[in-house]
Amino acid sequence: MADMDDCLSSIEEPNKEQVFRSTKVFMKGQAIGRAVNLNILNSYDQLKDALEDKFQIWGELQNCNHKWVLLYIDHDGEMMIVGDDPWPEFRNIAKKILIYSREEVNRMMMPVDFGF
Amino acid sequence: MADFNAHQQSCTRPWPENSNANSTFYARILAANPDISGSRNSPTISQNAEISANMMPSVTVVLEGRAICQRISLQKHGSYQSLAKALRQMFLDISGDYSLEKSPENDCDLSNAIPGYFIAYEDMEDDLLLAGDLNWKDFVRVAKRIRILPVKAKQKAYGSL
Repeated sequence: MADMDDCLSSIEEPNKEQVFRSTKVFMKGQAIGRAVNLNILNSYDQLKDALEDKFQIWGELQNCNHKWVLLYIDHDGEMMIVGDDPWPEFRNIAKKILIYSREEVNRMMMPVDFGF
Repeated sequence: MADFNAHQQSCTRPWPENSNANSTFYARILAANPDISGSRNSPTISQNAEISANMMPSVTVVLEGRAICQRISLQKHGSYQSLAKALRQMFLDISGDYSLEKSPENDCDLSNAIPGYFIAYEDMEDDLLLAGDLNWKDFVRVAKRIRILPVKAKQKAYGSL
């Protein structure tokens, strides 16, 4: 948290990216989101631990069960699957994190039929 | 002549030049006129922070199901615990249910401020989030509205991104 306080001490030109480092996380089916500071986490595993705690889905993000899938929204507004990028890069590009059920993700990944 | 002297006396500044009072005076002028620059006693960073904090408006507190909302000034509270106590008091005053008053004051935090309800907030992007994840300073910056919701309201389809 010391880094965050240092950023906050300068308010002359409030740069949102500079002073605010928490990433919002939403779970499909829940009205209330949570926020997580990606900069204090060192790996995808730590992220999954933190989210399992916050959303009370222990064991459901990490193990073979994989009841829930982590997605994220990047700066272009695209929805991507979490895990493809090296962790330090992911911290910078993830604008919002989403937790969807596996069924929902499978449905979304079905190819679109253009009817040709 | 005596009248003129009396007039001169009344025109002198009520504060001495280059005193601390002067810089507070300039802080207030800047708060009212943000475009003024190059003033002789420019406010320091900490005074800027004070000006900025004083310019932030109060936020609305919406208690789900109630037609009338209230306002709260987050600047008057230095922590989530202080906010929790204030919201509990607000809830007691609205609901008239004073059974909560029996709980010890130092026991009050966000998670138990109002049993059966949780404290959420709307941020500047209109997202609804549970209060408590951010540090207090960040929370004060981004919270636009506070919503006190019954626990059963948590389950609801999360709609658009």
